[in-house]
Amino acid sequence: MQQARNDILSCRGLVVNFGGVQALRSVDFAVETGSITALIGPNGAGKTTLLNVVSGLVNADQGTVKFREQDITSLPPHKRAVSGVVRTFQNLEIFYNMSVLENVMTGCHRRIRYSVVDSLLKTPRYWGGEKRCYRYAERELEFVNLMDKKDTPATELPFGSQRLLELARAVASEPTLLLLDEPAAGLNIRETGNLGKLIRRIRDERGITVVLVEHDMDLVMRISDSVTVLNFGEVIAQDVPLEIQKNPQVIAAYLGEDEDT
Amino acid sequence: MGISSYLQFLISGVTMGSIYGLTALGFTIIFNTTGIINFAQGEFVMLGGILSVFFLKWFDIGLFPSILLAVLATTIIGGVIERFAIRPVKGASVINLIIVTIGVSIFVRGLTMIFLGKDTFSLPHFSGNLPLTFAGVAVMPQSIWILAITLVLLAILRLFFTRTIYGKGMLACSYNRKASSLVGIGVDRMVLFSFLISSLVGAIGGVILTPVTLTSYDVGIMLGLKGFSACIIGGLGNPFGAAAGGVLLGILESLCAGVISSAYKDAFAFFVLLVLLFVKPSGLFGQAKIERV
Amino acid sequence: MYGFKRDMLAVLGFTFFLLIIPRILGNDYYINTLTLSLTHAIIAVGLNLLMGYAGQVSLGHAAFYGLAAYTSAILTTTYSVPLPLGMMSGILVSGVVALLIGIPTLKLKGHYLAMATLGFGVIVYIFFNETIELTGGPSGFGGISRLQVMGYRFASDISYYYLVAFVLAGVVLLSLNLIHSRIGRALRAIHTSETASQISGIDIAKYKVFVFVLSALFAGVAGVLYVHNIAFVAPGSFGFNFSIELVTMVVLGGMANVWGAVIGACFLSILPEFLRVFENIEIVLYGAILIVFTIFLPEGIAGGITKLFLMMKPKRSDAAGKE
Repeated sequence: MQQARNDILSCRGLVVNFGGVQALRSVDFAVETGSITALIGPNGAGKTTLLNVVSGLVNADQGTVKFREQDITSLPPHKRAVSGVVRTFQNLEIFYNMSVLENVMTGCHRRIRYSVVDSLLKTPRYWGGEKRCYRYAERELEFVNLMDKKDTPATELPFGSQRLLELARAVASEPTLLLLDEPAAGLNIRETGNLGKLIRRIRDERGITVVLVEHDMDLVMRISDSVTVLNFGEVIAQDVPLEIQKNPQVIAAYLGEDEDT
Repeated sequence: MGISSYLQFLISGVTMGSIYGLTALGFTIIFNTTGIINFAQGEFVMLGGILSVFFLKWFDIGLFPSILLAVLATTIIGGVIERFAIRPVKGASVINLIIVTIGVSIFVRGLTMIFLGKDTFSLPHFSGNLPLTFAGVAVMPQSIWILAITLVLLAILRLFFTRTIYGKGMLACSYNRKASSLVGIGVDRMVLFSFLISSLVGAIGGVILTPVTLTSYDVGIMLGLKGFSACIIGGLGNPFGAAAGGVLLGILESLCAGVISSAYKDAFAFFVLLVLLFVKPSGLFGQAKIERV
Repeated sequence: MYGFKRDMLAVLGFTFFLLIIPRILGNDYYINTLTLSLTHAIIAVGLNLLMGYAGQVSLGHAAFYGLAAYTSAILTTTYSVPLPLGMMSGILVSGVVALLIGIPTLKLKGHYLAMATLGFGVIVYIFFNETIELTGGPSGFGGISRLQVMGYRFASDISYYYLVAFVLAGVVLLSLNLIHSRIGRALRAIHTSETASQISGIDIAKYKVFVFVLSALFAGVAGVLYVHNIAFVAPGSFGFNFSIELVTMVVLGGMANVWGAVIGACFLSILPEFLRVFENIEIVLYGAILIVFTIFLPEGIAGGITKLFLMMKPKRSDAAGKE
């Protein structure tokens, strides 16, 4: 918790209530710039809620969210996205009425800025913007290795590829902080392996800080620099992976959970 | 204007408001189980009234049997609508669901026009139309009927939602459709049930209202719109808040008609709707979170 | 890129087609019906941007059509405002009113717009009927001057038809351009997932309001074209049934398909000419179309044609399937 390190994200005292249920009870959560930080915990621990609060989809009842030293607690999601907080979803949120390429181009929405008039009249600004957008999108599709599928309707992609597509769309909006909600859910072992490498590359090559909510402990321990453990809406541990594995509180929290290890 | 004329507005407001409340309740029940706004809700109210008129005329079986038959027929129509129009688009995007209910609403309205005509019809008052006078304020017996039946209906529904397995199931659906189906609550059946109850409640509203206001094939639009405004006042998703919202809307409207102008009475409900959406979209009694974007 | 050449060719072909229809028909009997169909198509194309692309329903577009028509008619006739100014004001009024309704309702998640516009349409209709000294009440008023541009008066029916055809072609081209831009992508994104749109940095309230206002402006354009053609205006043309007819045009022709809206509008506007019983059953027919098409053919006629086309030419499915 010491301020010596350089945190890109720091949440203080987050409280979220759903009806009578306290999903988060005074959570402090910080992410160091340039790290891959994993967020783990048993089902219902509040991991997705925390991601929702950081990305602005859920408003915290109490507490503050600071991103790059700025208070973003009351910013709507699209403004957070513009300032650099982007995420993916556990239950895939793909634009099913578009092709693969168009999905990623939509991710570039904020990187190209021509006006309505430019689009209506197809001005040179429009053409310039679209060409750049196209290039950005192609680059990200190559990055996730979906280039050969670029004209395929998004609905026709197999599940694993849809995950990659969502990832490409997220990276296409040039985030500085990328929140991944169970990106390995539903993937087979080989796909999970590739995903791990990809997440590493996102951090190493793009300089994007990654927060990873994940149940696959193997993946978490392999790629993350720091692990935060949530249980019943509270942070019970925050440490490097090796220490977390030995933490008795964490082990207790996971007892009885049928997690695959 | 004296105090008695305000009391008079209050009474006519509560009378109309009860109907708006029942319509709003119907909206809420379907919204809770399906997440869609049923544009055919006003047509249930219209059908209840107009079918009573025609059953009375055709079968000559007396007022109350005709009414019972009309309510039953409307409820069956509600079920048929769910089964043959709503269920086939299950899982489609919300806009498609809305378009289907719009289609159903004008289809029903059109058929009514073709088969029953464009005239305006009346239904006899349940127990005479001599006003009773309390302290200088005239109250039609029908107003008392409306209030009493509305209250009884609300009480029954309250019991239904809190005490019976079906009612609880429907409430569970409203909290989380996916989870409900996982724990074995048949969502299809719940949706059917919500249409049955909504059409039943709507039909009863239409039946008790018609002696006061007359009816024709096209009264459903305005009743539906006002019912929806009542929902927004009470908070969409909160059945009894919606009913209270209806009464409030009725009183406001009656005051507006009496104090300002009756020509713009109908515009008033819409005005209330817009203002509320602007300042307090979760409704006055709403607990449901309405997300702003 | 993105089928721009194809769009341009299609619009050119379409314009050419519209221009030769009167010659094919050989007589002027149907010209007014055609003009009216194309006027409706202008509204339907706009409404389709709202419904088909952005996924929002308006049940009050007849009111925007009417507001523009009445505003221009009243200004130019009663207050002798110059024609271009009156027409501009008419279109502007529709846009501003749409803005006022759109801001509160489209800020909310969910489909409040449909109900709000339904109410709005009903109110505007009451207003047209009640404010007799302004609008002439239920019987309307006539003596509205016919359109004149820089001294040229569109006196003949055929000249007016050509004018409306060019305006429609322009509206179609602008819409296609809009769809194939970042704005079009944003609208389509909102249709499928508001959440994912926001995460991609799209201000969804802003875009929804924008497309709603744009569609109202298109309706306004149609309104002023209509009123300065028939030179008479009455509330009957702008009621709830016409709003429903417009929605039906979009659903019938094909949601999220610019050409579909044109097809749907022409189909529903020309049909009554051949189907005399239409007047009595139109509303039932609209209802049936809305239900049946949504259940069985949500892509509408245009989508159906595209599908047939793809079945015959399976090789090209990638290129044409993403419209």
